[in-house]
Order: sequence, then C-alpha cells, then structure tokens
Amino acid sequence: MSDGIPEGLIKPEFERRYRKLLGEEYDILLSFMARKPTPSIRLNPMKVDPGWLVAKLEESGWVLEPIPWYEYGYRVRKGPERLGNTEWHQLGLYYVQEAASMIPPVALSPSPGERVLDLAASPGSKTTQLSEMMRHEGVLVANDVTPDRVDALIANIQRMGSINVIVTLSDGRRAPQFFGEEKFDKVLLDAPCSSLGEVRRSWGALARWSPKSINKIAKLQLSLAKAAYRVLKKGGVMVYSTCTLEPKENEWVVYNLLKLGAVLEEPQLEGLRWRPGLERWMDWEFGSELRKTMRIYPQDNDTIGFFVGLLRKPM
Amino acid sequence: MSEFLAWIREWFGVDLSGYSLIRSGKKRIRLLTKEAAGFDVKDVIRGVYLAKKAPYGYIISVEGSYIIGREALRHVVELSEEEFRRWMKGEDIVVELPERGVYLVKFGPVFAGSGYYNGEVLHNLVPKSRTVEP
Ligand SMILES: C[S@@+](CC[C@H](N)C(=O)[O-])C[C@H]1O[C@@H](n2cnc3c(N)ncnc32)[C@H](O)[C@@H]1O
Repeated sequence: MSDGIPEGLIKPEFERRYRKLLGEEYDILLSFMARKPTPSIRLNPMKVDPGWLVAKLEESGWVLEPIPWYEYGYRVRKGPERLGNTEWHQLGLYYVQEAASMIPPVALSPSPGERVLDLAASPGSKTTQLSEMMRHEGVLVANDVTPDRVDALIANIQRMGSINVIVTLSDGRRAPQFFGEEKFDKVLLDAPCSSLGEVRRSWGALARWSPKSINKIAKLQLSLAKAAYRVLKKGGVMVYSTCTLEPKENEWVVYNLLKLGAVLEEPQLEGLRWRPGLERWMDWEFGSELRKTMRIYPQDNDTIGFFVGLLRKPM
Repeated sequence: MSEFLAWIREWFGVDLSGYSLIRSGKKRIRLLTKEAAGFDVKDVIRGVYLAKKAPYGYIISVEGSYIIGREALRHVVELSEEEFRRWMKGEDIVVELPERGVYLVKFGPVFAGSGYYNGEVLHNLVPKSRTVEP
C-alpha cells in the first residue's frame, strides 16, 4: 500500500459525511488512513516472563515501544519483516495484534474466576487476550458463526495455550436460546462491521463503503448487541466495539441498548487519546450519555480506527 | 486416560490431577481447566491439544511441553541458542541423553515441544505448522 489513497476510491457521499463528522480534521484522517500503522505485538504472560522476552527481542535488534493502555502490548518500531514467522511467535509467546484492538478487552477488564463470553470471537485476538487477563481462571466462551474462521480461532487458542476457553459455533443473534438468559458476568461483542477503521491495512473497506451496506450491517450489529445484552447477568458489564467510525454502526447501536435499560460507563485506559461519542448524528438525537463511549481516531494514537462502548446491566 | 496419567507421572514426575483431560478421537488428549470442563454448553472444542499416543509413549504438544515441563523432574533437554534456532526450523538435533524416549525441549525459560531420542538423535516432533519457515 503506497502513500495516498487511490483516485476515485472515495465516494462523494463518504466525503460529505466525514467532512461533517470531522470538520477540519477530515484531511488529517485521510492522510493517516493512507499510511500503514506501526505493527504491534501482545506478549503472553502465561507462557513467558515478559521481561525475559523483551530483553531477548532487543538483544536480536528489535526496537520495542510499550503501548500505554495494555501492559503487555508493544509497538515494533524495528523488527523482522514477518512477525508471524519467528520462534517466539510459533511458540505462542506473542500475538501480532493492532494496538487499538487491545483496547476492548482492557475496557471489559475481566477478572480471574468470572464467566465471560466473546460473542464474535474469530480469529481470537481478543479471546486470547481475555484469557490471559483472566490468568486462565474462570470460563471464557469464544463463539463465532463462520466455520472457516472458527478454525483460525482454534489454532490461535492452541498457540497461546488458552486452557480456560470453550469454542462454540452459533449465530450470535440467537445467543439467549443457545447459552441461556443472564449467564455471563462479562460479554464482549466485537462486532462484524464495515471495517472503515481498517482502511490503514487494506483499501477494501473504502471501496465497499455505501450508506446501504452500512444500514444493513447496523441491523445485524443491533440484533447481536441485543442478544449479547440478554445473556449478560444483572450487574454484569458488556463491551460493544467495532473497528469502524460510522455513527450508525456505533452510537446508534449503543443508543438502542440504552433504551433496554443499559447504563453507560466511561472506560478507564491509561495514556489513550479518544474523543467522546456523538450526541447526535443526522436525524438522531442520541443524548449526552453517549459522550461516555470512545471514538478512537487513527491520528490520535497512530492506530487503526476503533469505537468502544462499556455498558452495565442494572441489578 | 489413567494409562496416560500414569505415564506422565512416571516419565516426567508430574501430576496433572489439577486439570481436566479429555479424549479427542482415538489417539489425542486435550487439557483444560476443571471449571471450563464443567461448564454446560454445546461446544466445538475445549481447551488445548496436549498429547498424542505414539509407539514409544506420547508426543507432547508445544502447549503440553509448557504445562508439563514447568514441573517436570526428568526427561527435559536444554538446548543452546544455536540448537534451539535449528530445532524451531524443524531439524533433529544430535545430543547425548541418558536413555531412549520422549524428552521435552527447553531453551532458557521457554519450552518448545517434544522430541524422541533414539540413542543417537533427538527426533523433532514439533508439527510443521509450529516451526519457523526458512
Ligand atoms: C471484527 S471480527 C471479530 C474479531 C475478533 N474479535 C478478534 O479480535 O480477533 C467479527 C466476527 O464476527 C463474526 N460474525 C459475523 N456474524 C456473526 C453472527 N451472526 N454471530 C456470531 N458471529 C458473527 C465474523 O465471522 C467475524 O469473525
């Protein structure tokens, strides 16, 4: 991917909407979207003393920079071309994971001993991170609907040694029927999305962008979010995240959960720059509560774009 | 399963009774926490692949080498960095070991699967998908 977004890839409606959303920062967003993000890795503290591995990697010439919001996350400023083809990767001592993708598990903050559900889990970046944050104690159910993608999930769970994980294959929209109501202390819904935040890694999302496709995916996201909320215990918390910046896929979905009684909380993440969620967009009035959700723009932390909402189900 | 547990106890001096073990197919054994084993849900799979029956005992997976290796009293072989790098490319290693059989492979604090020692070389049992491509 070269610098500069190819001619004609940005649709006029996209430009109109995003200029409205971002104002003067629209061009900054585009310039960041045109550049690949710095690769990053997440060390596996369940398999190796992170200090030992960092020293070993630095000894071989890697230049690592800690990611402030996750203690085992590092950007690789200098390292091998293929981060997925090293001894340490193959032994499951680290996982190649975008820095922003480490945010939803930190926002959810699972504790050892809890019952946790990752409803759209493949290929398992966040599943394996959650399992490590739980120190392999308690139960983590990792679900996905796509059989092919479940294979990748299983392979990553194996490689990272996540021994408290159960893999299930089901349509997340039917989660209450599949798992039962109010079963989990914590639920992560890292929803399928239009992947606009991923444009830094591939142009595909920009080429596919259209208001119609966004409405369609938002409908799926809302069904998944409602199902996720139903399997959450009273008093439990849920994270809704996407790697897109589309309000319809983000604030609109969370706004609809608030109507079911969910209460927003502000995630606590060290050293992360984020913008409050939108109070209104187009014809919708989401309300000031939505300011507790996080919009993570590529230019703020040099990551891909992300959205994170942390919701509690009242007792 | 009791045969496997007895073999692990005798060969490595390790007691796995703190975990749950389940059979997967005829030859494979998986390991998971007791809590994850007790959770009632229709699964595709649980926990991680641990070991596979072989004529000379059991092949231990990379993950198994961590879980067992951390507590093993014997049959663990420490490689030099140069040997370890070759091992991770899938090569067999010429070493001298006390007796024939399955050994867990270690480099520093890191475990790297298992090998079978035939009296001359340590045969690499790490699956290709877990080795480093040249
Ligand atoms: C953004 S990806 C998840 C990434 C994953 N959480 C990670 O961190 O590695 C969204 C996932 O949702 C899954 N998905 C799509 N529709 C679904 C449905 N109806 N139920 C469950 N999962 C679904 C897709 O197969 C895809 O793996």
